[in-house]
Parts: sequence; structure tokens; C-alpha cells
Amino acid sequence: MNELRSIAVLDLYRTRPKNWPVRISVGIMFALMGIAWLAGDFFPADTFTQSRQANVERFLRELLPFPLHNVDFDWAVAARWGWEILDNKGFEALYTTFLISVAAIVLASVMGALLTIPAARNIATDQPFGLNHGSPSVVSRLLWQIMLVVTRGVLILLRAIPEYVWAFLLLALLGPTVWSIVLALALHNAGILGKLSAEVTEDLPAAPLRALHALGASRAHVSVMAVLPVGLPRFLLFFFYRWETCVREATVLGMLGIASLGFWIQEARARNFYDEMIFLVLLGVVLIIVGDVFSSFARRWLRRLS
Amino acid sequence: MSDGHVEIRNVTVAHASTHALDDVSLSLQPGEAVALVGLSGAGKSTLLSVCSGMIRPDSGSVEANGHELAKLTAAQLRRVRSRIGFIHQDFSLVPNLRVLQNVVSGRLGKRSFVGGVRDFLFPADDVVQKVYEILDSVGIAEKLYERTDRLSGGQRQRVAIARALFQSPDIILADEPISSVDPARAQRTIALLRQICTDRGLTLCVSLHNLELARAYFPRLIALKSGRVLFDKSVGCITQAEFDELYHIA
Repeated sequence: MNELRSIAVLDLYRTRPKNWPVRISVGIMFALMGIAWLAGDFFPADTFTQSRQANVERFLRELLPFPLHNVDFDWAVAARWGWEILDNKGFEALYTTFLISVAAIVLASVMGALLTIPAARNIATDQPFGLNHGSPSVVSRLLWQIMLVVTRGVLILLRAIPEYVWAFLLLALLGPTVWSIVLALALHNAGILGKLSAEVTEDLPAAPLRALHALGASRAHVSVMAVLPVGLPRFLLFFFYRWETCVREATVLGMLGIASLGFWIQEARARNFYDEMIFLVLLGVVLIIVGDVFSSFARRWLRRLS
Repeated sequence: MSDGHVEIRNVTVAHASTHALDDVSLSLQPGEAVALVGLSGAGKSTLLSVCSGMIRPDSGSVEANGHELAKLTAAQLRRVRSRIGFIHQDFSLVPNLRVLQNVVSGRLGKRSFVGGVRDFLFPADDVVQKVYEILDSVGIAEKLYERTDRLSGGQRQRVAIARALFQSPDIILADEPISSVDPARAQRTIALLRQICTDRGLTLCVSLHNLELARAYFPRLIALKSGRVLFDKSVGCITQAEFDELYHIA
């Protein structure tokens, strides 16, 4: 045996606490890797055939702006080509996408805020904040419980249906208007914001809320005068984080036929104008980067504030 | 005349999460000043929470301002509570609001939802003036528009006292109000509380670790040990043996 370890240390080593969930997980992970390696079919032989390679090459060639085909590269020509697309549809598409995302997140946060309080377990109960609230009554406890379950259920339903599916349903319902997309994004994000804000509300430091309730403030008072100010930095953090996603999704949902960026990308692809399509995709990337940068600045500022 | 009167009869609290009370009876007369003494865990905080209706006792009755608390509906309990000022150990203020807003929230128990929100966002001139005067009486008038979390511990404590005073209470209950300030400030705070309550004729009950301060500033002491009342006397009548027993850890 190892001479450097005394019997006492070896005894301690043998009786050390063992973390079985971790050991079992690691074992399962290696087993799955082995199975995947032996049974998998990651790179079937026809992935890199000659014809596919030709396809990819042709596609890459077509990404070059059309006026530059078979001529020497000229920045002025490329710029004029780009400007024309921007002027024709690019700017308007960007603007529409931006408007959709803002309208959606504002609607989502209003709906989410309304659903937050009845979904927070520390407030939506017959004995809020763990304080005595008059004679305990079975009926009132049951009613509060029902409200909590119903609100949580609505929140789950809202966020369980993806934006794309909401949009699909709403387009059938409302017809091809931009509101179908706005509402689709708003409903899905209301579910997410409501749930996250309810969790934040439950985790807020209890003392200030309890103290206000103890001096006679109603649940609604406490929500506006303690929950809102104490939780605001975190509520806004979620707001900006979800707005970022809304910008992205507003682009994608355009593919369902509403004139955001996604619509024009789809349309360019349908006409086989791959150069234009990729230009619009890159435009979407720029919009999302701008949104991300703005939202991360806002969130950093909020984090310092809280 | 029952305003300011607290009557507790045979109260027992056996919640696992709190320090229990075992068959406690006591009575506070309007305008009286009482200190609650005893070791940590003796049930002082629980007793104060019972007096203000924050905890419902398992048995026994609690009467505050002439209302039997167990018989009240939520709305009635809210009204009774609005007349009881409670100064919490950690002050329990909303940190990122202005001092004005924290003090104004003291009268939420008497306000409708809209009225409360109006006080909070656009307080009327006379309300601001009244808050200013109360802050002046606790010595921090110049902090009216300051953010509460920018204040020192001692200043925050005065905001908590001001909030309780803005309730226009009949009774003030204070749970270890000086546990987080230095000894000199502790003495000044107790003196301030005593003086304010004497001036306004309010019933005052303060739980204290510090026996010296309790004896110096309060005519009557109630001692709790393991959830029971060990003695309840005026300061002059308490023997050294009784104090020894109070602080003797079994």
C-alpha cells in the first residue's frame, strides 16, 4: 500500500461521503458516448459527394451581387446595389421588425405584470406574507388556491405554445395583419415574463413586504409600494432580455407573410435571388446585434442600480 | 376608553418555526411604557407579534384597542393594525424608495388603493408637510427626499420610528430597536422613543437585550424566560435574585 498515507488517512478516504448522482451521471455519459460511436451514423458516405460540392460552390458564387457577375469587383457597384435593396424594402423592413418587437414586448409586460401578483405564492394566499389575516376560512383558502392554480396554468399555457404556433393560429383568426405577429409574440412572452416575475416576487426579501402588510396595507398596496420598487431592477432585466428575443423572433415570423425582414428573405429566396437573400439575412443580423448591444447596456446599467 | 389598551390572556403559541409562548397573560394600560426583557429565544418577538395580530395564538385571547383580535375579519384586523405602530428589528423599510415614501406608507392601513398610490406618487402638500414635521421630531428632517438605503443605520431606525408615528398610532411596539446601533445611539433612541410616546400619550412596549437601559428608562419590566412570564413588576420592586434567575442559562 501507499507508504505516504497513514492508516488513519486511508480510513477517512474509504469512509468519505460519495456523491452518487454525479458518479452515475458520469457513467451514463460515457456509456452514451460509446453507444453513439459504435451505433451512430454521423457521416454517411454520401454527405460529401461531387454533386453536392458543386451545389455549394454554385451557391457561394451566387452570393456575389448580381451586377458584379463576370466583371471585376467594384465597391461602388456593390454599394449602389446594396443601397437599392435598402431603399426599396430594407429600411422599411427593419423599421417594421423593430416596431413589431417593441409593441410585442410592451403588450407582453403589461399582461405579464397583471398575471404576476395572482401567481406569486407569498401574496396570492389567504395568509399573505406569512402573517395572520383574520379568521382562517376554508372557503377563502380554497378560492385563493384556485386562483393561484388557474393563473399559473394560464402562464404555462401561454409560454408552452411557441411564438410560431401562436402566429399560425392568429393569422388564421385575424387574417394577414401585423397584429397577428405582435400578439403571437406578446402572448408567448407574457407567459415567460409573468412566470419569471412571479418567481422574483416570491424571492424578494420578506421583511419590507411583511412590515407594510402588518401596518394595515392591502395586498395591492404592498404590490405597488414594495414589490414593484424592490423588484423593479430585476423585472426590467427580464424585460430587456425578452425584448432581445422579440427582435429575433419578429424577423423569423415575417416568413409567415407579414412584411418584416423575414418576409423579404423568404421572397428573395422564392425568386432565387440568393445575393439579395443573404444581404437581407445580414441586415437582420445587424438589427439583432444592435438590439443585443442596447439591451446589454441597459441591463448592465440596471444591475449597477440594484 | 380602550385606545392604547392591550390585554393578553393565557396565550400559548406552539408554532415550530417561532419561539413559543406558554400561557402568557399581561395587560398594558393606555400611555404606559413597558420593557420586555429576557434572553434571545425567550419569546419576546413572538409576544410582540401576538400583540399586533401578526401571529395568531394557538390558544388564549388577545385584545388590542378594545378589539378581540381573533374575532375580527381581515378588513377589521387591518383597521386595528393601522393603529398599532411596529418598529421591526431590521427596520423593514423599502430600501430603494425615498424617506418620504417610506414614511407616507405608514398610513396605508387607512387608505384606499387609489389614495395609497396617490400618496406614494404625488403626495399632497399637507401630507409632505406632516411627514417633514414628524421627521423633524425624530431629528432627520433634512433627509425627507433622500433614498432610504443611502442612510446610516441610526438614521434608518429613525425613519422606521417616523413611519410608525405617521400611522397616528395608539400603541407602539418595538422589537429590539437598538440591536444594530452603537451604545451611545442606543441610549438616545430609547430616550427619544420614551419622550415621543409620553408627549403623545401612546402606549409603548419595547423588547430589549440591554437590562441597564430597560431599568433606566422604563418604570415597568416584563421578563420572559422560555416562553413564560418570569416577573412583571415596577422596576423598584425587582430583586437581584430575580434578575439573576432571568439571565441564568439552565
